[in-house]
Amino acid sequence: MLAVPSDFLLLIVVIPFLAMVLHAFLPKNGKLQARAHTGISILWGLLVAWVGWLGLQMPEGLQLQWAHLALAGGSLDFAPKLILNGSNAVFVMLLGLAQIVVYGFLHDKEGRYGASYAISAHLLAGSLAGLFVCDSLLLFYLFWELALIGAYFWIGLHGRPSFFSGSVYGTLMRFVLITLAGSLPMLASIAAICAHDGRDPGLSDLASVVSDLSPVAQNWIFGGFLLGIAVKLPMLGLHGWLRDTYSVAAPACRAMLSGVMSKMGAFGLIFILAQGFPNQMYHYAPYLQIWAVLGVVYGAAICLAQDRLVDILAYSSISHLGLVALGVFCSVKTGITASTGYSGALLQVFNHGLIMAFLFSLDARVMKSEESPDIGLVSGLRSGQKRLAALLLVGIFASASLPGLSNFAGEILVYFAAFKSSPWLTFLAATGALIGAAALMRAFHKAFLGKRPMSVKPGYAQAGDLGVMETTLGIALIGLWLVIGLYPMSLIAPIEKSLVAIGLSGFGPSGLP
Amino acid sequence: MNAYILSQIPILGAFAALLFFGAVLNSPRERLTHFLTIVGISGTAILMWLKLEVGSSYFGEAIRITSVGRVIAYLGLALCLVAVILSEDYLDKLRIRAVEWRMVVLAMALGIEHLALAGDLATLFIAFELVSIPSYVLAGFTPRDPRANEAGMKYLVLGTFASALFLLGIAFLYGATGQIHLAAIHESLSRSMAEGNAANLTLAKVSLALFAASLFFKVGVAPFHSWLPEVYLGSNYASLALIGGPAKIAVFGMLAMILWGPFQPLYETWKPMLLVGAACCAIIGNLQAIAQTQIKRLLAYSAVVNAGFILLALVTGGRDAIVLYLAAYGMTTMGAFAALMAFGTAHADVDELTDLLGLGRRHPFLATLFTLVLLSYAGIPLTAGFAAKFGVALEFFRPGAMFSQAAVVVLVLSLSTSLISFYYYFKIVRALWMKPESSLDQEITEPRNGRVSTVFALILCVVAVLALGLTMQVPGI
Repeated sequence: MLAVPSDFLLLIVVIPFLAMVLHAFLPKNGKLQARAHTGISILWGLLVAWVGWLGLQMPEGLQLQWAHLALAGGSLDFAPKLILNGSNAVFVMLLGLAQIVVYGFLHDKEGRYGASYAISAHLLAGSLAGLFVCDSLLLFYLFWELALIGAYFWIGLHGRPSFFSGSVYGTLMRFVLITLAGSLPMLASIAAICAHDGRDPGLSDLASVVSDLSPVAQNWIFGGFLLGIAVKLPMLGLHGWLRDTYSVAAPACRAMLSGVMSKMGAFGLIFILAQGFPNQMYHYAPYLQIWAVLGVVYGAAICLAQDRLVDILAYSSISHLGLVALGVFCSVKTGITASTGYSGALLQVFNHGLIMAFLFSLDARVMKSEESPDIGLVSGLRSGQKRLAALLLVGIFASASLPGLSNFAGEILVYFAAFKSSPWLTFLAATGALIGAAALMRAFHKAFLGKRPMSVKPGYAQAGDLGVMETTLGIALIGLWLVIGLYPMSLIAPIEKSLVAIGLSGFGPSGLP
Repeated sequence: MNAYILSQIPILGAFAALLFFGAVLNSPRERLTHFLTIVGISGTAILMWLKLEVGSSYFGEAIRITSVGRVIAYLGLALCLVAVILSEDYLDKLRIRAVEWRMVVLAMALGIEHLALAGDLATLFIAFELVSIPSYVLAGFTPRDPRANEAGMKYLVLGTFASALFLLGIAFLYGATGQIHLAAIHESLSRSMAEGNAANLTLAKVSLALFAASLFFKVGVAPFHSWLPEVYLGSNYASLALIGGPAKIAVFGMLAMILWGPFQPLYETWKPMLLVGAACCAIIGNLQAIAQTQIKRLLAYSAVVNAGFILLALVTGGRDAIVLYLAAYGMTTMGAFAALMAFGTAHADVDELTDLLGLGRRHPFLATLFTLVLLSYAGIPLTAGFAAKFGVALEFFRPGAMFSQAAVVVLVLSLSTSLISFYYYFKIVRALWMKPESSLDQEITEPRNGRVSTVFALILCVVAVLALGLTMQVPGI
């Protein structure tokens, strides 16, 4: 096996930022900009996915650490550090593959968007890469906010007002403000942690600093982090930004937001909350589990009332990410089988990210206008887009956790873990997932099967079918799902190893029954 | 020669030269006076660096060089310098007598520097007036603009009132302690505290209240801030850069020095005052800023919000946090004014938010720099604004700091209301970059003014903002 030099960690973070500069100086030719953007994104995606894959294979992981810096007049010791091990490699791999999927399906052939599109997309991608490999609270917050800035400009400059969601800017502001309402308390928590020890402990050493604090302080700090992370995921009640934001965002942006950006929340959930606050997680797990399951059921149920594919996908996302959260919250409670829930959650992160990137990309390819098909207004689309319909159907099957496809493996692990904790909650969660799957199937059935209407409403002209390259990409992705679905240990084994290494496996919190 | 006098020669020399040019020559060369102003301010700064040592004092402690005071004096002079550089072209545009404007600026720079170096009450008052009086002149410096006249007059009347309070504060403090040297006052008050001398302490507390009222007014702490938006709106950008940047920083610096200097024994008395002020700033400033569509008024309310954070920094007493906040706020503010000057047309200034429409497309470089400045205001990581707020929060949570619950509540209130500030800063970002959603909003197609000196100053500010954001500290302290 090839060993990756640890400098690659820096490389994957830096490339998108360099690409931003490149796009600023490229001629203002739309097609050239678009080609450069697609090319760089896919090549970078390949590199990231490859580094992630190799990282997954390395039990000891990779580390890149710089010298200690004394910030804030020497009162804050900060040692920037990037790491890659089996557990965060899943996120890195997801990011790389999602880039390939999104830009494989949604390249801007006519060059409509220009430099600002590429710059904001690279900013988001680079920030996500940085966030997934950083092992420092300050860097974590930096990339957390930079990703938001990237998304802000991407949506604001290239979003389209939607009849269903109103103006771009109103929606965007709601997204930014709700997200920040979560991240500001998180900042206060980070400040409290850093001030306590006079250093930035990073994610891996967070638990030791937290355990020094008074129980009251621990609870407040935990609450700050929880709020930031729950908004990003989003958990039920904090999801007010989700549907409209996805609705107005440009298709590629929407796919990246749902596929990868929402995983920032999952990342925080596992590497900050579970790793850093074992006692609080243990203590609050019952309530958090209920919260997660309510999200699963609510997201799925509300899917039934949606008419547009994009909205169904958006709400099903709440439901699926609720399962990820459930996996994490159950693991804390179940002691010896803890790793089941964590590995299930991590596997779900990977599966859900790819499936969403895939489905959102395909959704934008159905209509010429890139609008999402409204199932009340269209039908029989399959006759014009046979390949797209076939791929979409498999994607929906994957999302519905059909056995044999990867999602099944992740979901069943989460249910195993949840069952140990509470059979009732497991039952509810499974019912929710079932409803979500039904809603997606129903949408496919209505839009793609049946007869084509005699006349097409203006704005509802169907786009052409997928090309050979795109179909190949889709088939390759399905192949990947099959491999993981039939042989899940290919991912689970390295994930479990690294979970043991970071102390998230096999044992409950120290000193607790 | 006395090292202190030597260090003041450049600034006084420049002042005398400008006086000569202005009075004797009818049409002095603009470039020459500009150059002289820069030489005067930077010469003094350099000589201070070389000649004045921390711990030394001059004229029987009338001037005292402390490490914090020196850094604040440098900061004030640096901001004055930036203001002078960035307004060169702008003054041409305004067609006002720039030589007079520069003389006023030199006088103000002298006051700014001495506010931080004053060692006794008399010097303090002279320095305070030396900053205040030029501020009134600057606010009304565009005689043809009725708004400027109104601003200048309002500022003068209210400012004089504040000066009177300040003077009264000095009188009471002298009455309480019988001393005029700041160090001696500190000693005397400590003694009174130890002895429980109620009469003296009451006088000192009255004096403290008078000082606080005067200085809160001067820096625009809510609810003493009602003059601020009016004066901001009426002043031209060049004057505003001085009133809103260096002058404010220097007064805050002085507030820090007297609170942690002579008034330090009364910490328990002034801490709640500052906390109440900070809470008012966070709530009132942010709420009032939401509805603003005029950019100067918006920046005025943003100044109120930042004043609240500075008060919090003062409560912590963290030297680094205070200086970092002052530097970060100063540089960010100067950057904002530089960008707005660069965006003015040949005949008009940027006034409304809609005047900025479409600039991201037509001037991407300038708009990017301005956006960085706005991100710093909003406190996004990597910028000075983030470092400053994070520094204050660090001080609050430091083990052993033992702040009361009320103090932590005010901090959390300030941090969480800064959510509102994202809304209005991003309104400016939106105007710069995004398409207007109403067809009534038309872009201004006239060419913008951004010339070399303004853009240079803007780049300087942005570099400073990023450097402060990365290192999270002010060099030299």
